[in-house]
Amino acid sequence: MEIQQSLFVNSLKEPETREEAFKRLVGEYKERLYWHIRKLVLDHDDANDVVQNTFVKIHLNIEKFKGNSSLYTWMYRIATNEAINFINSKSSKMGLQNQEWIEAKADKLISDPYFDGDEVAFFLQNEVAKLPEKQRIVFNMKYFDGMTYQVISEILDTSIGALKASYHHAVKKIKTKLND
Amino acid sequence: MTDFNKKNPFKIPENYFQELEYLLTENTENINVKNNLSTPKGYFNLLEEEILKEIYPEKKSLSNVRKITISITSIAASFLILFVFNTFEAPKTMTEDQAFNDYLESYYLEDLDSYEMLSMIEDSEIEKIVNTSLKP
Repeated sequence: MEIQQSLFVNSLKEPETREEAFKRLVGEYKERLYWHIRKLVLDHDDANDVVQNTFVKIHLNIEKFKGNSSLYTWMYRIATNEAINFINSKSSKMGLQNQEWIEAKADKLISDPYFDGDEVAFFLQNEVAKLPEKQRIVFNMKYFDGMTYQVISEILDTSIGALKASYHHAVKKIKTKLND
Repeated sequence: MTDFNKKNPFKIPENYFQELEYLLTENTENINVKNNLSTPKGYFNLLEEEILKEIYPEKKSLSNVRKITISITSIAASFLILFVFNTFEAPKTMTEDQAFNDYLESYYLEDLDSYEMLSMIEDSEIEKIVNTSLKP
C-alpha cells in the first residue's frame, strides 16, 4: 500500500506523468472531498467553489507533500483548511462570526433544492451548525462520514483523546436538544 | 462457485444485483443519504471536467489564448506609452499654462506701466491695433 502510494505520488511529481496521474487523483477523490467540504459549508455552490480550489491547491503543492502522512489525509487536511478559510472569508465580509454565518446557512436548508431531509434532518443540521467549529468538524467526520478517530486525528492534527472529548460534548448537546 | 451456491440456503429476488447496482450508483451520484444533502444530476462528471480544465487548459486554446494575450499586451503597451507621454507632457503644459495665467492675471499687469505692457506685444500686433483704432 505504502509502495503503491509512493509510486503514485512520484508520478504526480514527475512532469511527464503528472497530468495523467492528476486525472486519476481527481477521479478517485472528487466525491469524497466534495462531501467532506459540503458538510462543512452546507451550500452546494459554495462546496463547488471550495472543492475546485482544493484540487488546484493540491496540484500546486504536490511537490511539498513529503509522505509523512497518507496522501488521503493530506488532501483532507487541505480540503478542511480551504472550507474553514472560505467560511472565515465569507463571514468576515458580511460582518458576522463564523458560527452566525453557518447557522444562517443551516436555517436556509429547508428551502434548498439540494436538501432532501425532513423536519428531523433539518433540525439535526441546525443543531450541528450551533456547535463550536472544532466540535462541528469532528461530529461531521465521525457521525456522517464514519471516520475512525485515528484518521480524524491525522487529518486535524489533534490527539485522539481531544477528539473523543469533542465528539462526546457534541453528541451530548445534540441529544439534549433532540429530547427537549 | 457451483458448490458455494448449493451450500447457500438463501435466495434473492430476481435481478436484485442489477437493481442494487442501480440504487447504489444513483445514491452515490445524487444523494448523500445520511445527511440529506444532494447535488445536481451529473454534477461529479462536470466537476472533474471543470477541475482539469482549470489546471490543464487545452493546448489548442492555449495557443489562441497566447495570441490574444500577445495582442492585448501590445495594445496595452501602446496605450501605456501614450499615457506615459501624455502624463509627463500634460503636467508640464498645465504648469506652463497655469504659470502664464497667473503671470497675466496677478501682480504683473497691475504693476506694469503702459510702456512695459506694449513691450510684451509684438510689433505686427501693435500695428494692427493702431490701424484699427485709427479707422474712422
